[in-house]
Amino acid sequence: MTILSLYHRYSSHLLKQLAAIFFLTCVLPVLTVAQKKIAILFVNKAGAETLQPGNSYMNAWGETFTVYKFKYYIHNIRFADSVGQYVTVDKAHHLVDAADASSTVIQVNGLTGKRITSIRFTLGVDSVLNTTGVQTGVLDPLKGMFWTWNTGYIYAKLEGKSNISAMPGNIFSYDVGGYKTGESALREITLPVTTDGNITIVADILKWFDSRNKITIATNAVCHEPGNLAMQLADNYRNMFHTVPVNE
Amino acid sequence: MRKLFAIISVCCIICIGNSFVFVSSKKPTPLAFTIPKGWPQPVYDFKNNPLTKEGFELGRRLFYDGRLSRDGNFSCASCHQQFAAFSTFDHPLSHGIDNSFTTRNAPALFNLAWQKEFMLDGGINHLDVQPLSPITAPNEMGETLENILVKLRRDALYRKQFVAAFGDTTINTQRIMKALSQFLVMLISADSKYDRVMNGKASFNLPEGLGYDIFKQKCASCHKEPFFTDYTYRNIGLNMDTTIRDYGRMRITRNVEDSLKFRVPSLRNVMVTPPYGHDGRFYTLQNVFEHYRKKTPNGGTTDSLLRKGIPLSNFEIGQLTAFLSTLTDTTFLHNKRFALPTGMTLAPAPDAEMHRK
Repeated sequence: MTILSLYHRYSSHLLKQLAAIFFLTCVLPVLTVAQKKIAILFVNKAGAETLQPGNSYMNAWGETFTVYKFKYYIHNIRFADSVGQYVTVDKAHHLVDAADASSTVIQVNGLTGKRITSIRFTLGVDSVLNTTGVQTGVLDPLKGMFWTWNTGYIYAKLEGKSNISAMPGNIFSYDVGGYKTGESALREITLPVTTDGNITIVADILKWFDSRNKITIATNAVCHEPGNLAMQLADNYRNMFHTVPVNE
Repeated sequence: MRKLFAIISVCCIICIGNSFVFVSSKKPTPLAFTIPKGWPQPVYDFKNNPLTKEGFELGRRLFYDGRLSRDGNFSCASCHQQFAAFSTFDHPLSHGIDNSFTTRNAPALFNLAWQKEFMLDGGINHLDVQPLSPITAPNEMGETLENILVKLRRDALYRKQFVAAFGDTTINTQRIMKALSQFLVMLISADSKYDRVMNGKASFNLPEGLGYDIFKQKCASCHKEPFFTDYTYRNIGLNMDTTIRDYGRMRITRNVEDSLKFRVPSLRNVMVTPPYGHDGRFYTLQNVFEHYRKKTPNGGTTDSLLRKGIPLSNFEIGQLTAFLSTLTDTTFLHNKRFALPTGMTLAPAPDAEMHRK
């Protein structure tokens, strides 16, 4: 039996297989994903300026500082339509890192046939994941967002240098976290959505110093554990976000 | 013929699949965890990390591997030696990388599956995350997790062991720590003379028996059986060493009530774990007894049970010492399953020359 005769004998079979593969890999996904994909873009800023690690900025108290690191975890993204019912579209944890552009975009499914009027998400790491051993992916402790000596995730981190700081090397370092009762640094953020397509969320680091609480580098240059200062910073970073209206 | 076509297709798919990820066809062998007679259920969550022979062996190798430290000289076993019940023999404070000292006496390691919190201040809430602390601490092993992953992924034997234990070639922080936990939870010490007496297989001699009675009367409220600790944090009235400035539990809770409190250590294998005290300031058991029978400073956070001191006569100290000797578990201390795996050598002791490099 030659190869050619084999081909003639089974060619119809082969074609059927190829057609099936084509249907499964190309046609089916298009048919099933009728939901619109929405990109949520986090733009990290210091006031009106785009945040660039290595650059210097000034807070509301006239303190100049250079930022080296700015990272935060978010999870449980929810959308609401005009009726106001929130639907979870993404439960996963994401680590937004000002130094890594790919980390600032999150793709989620929109609401089928409805207009999104509000977005809600949680800043921090779910408390259960703080107490159940080592996690993987963006929650891997090697991401540097984990306290090894006093177990728990650092939910958000703003670090750099400032001449005003009396710490060694003039560092200022805000590592904020805490999952235990009375010291939870988890914060829920709800923002209006006025666009039809992708959503741009601005995170303004200047709010860390000046929002609900006044935080100065001169008085508090370091936060490296849960507790009062972490809670004050969390109450401030809760207000660091705003959505960009359609025309901006 | 059609059958042949199907078989060839399946083979092709398997071959293509295998070229991406090597998947083990063999399932790991389950490893039994036996709860000693009369003991409570362990607190470790085995559902999340099922014990297997392969996982245990991988954890054992990691435990003895100096490559988990920055300069290759400090394995977990450097400060946790089996013959000392996995504490550090004869060292008040352990030696870390770059000629550094730790700030506390290395605790013995056993019966960890029953322990909820780790470190003498209880700052760590899960066994799986405990090793992250000594591995990354600059005065212990001083290494980064990224570097460890690079070193392990490069090693053909580790790659094979991770496949055998977890089913595929993925090597990540979680798997390293789960393997270490599998080794650590198996370190069960429950076969001392005391245990055999409790199980009716042996009997105390006269001084041991008298010592046990004194123990139950004067020590057992904190050193509770069968673990010989109640896992609470207490201040036993030691002045703070001003060169270390270790406030113990307060560093974790930030509550002044917890100032200078440390976890009650187990007394199992106590004869092989000198020196004693959270900073190893007591070289012998006699020093410890002397401390307890003195009136400790009244006030502060000193434990109310100790403020007047524990009345102990020289006679009683002798009987207590006889009883405490029955807590030495030689089966555990000499168990070959927990020893350096064959084919491995202990990391060389770092010398001054090394530190100058």
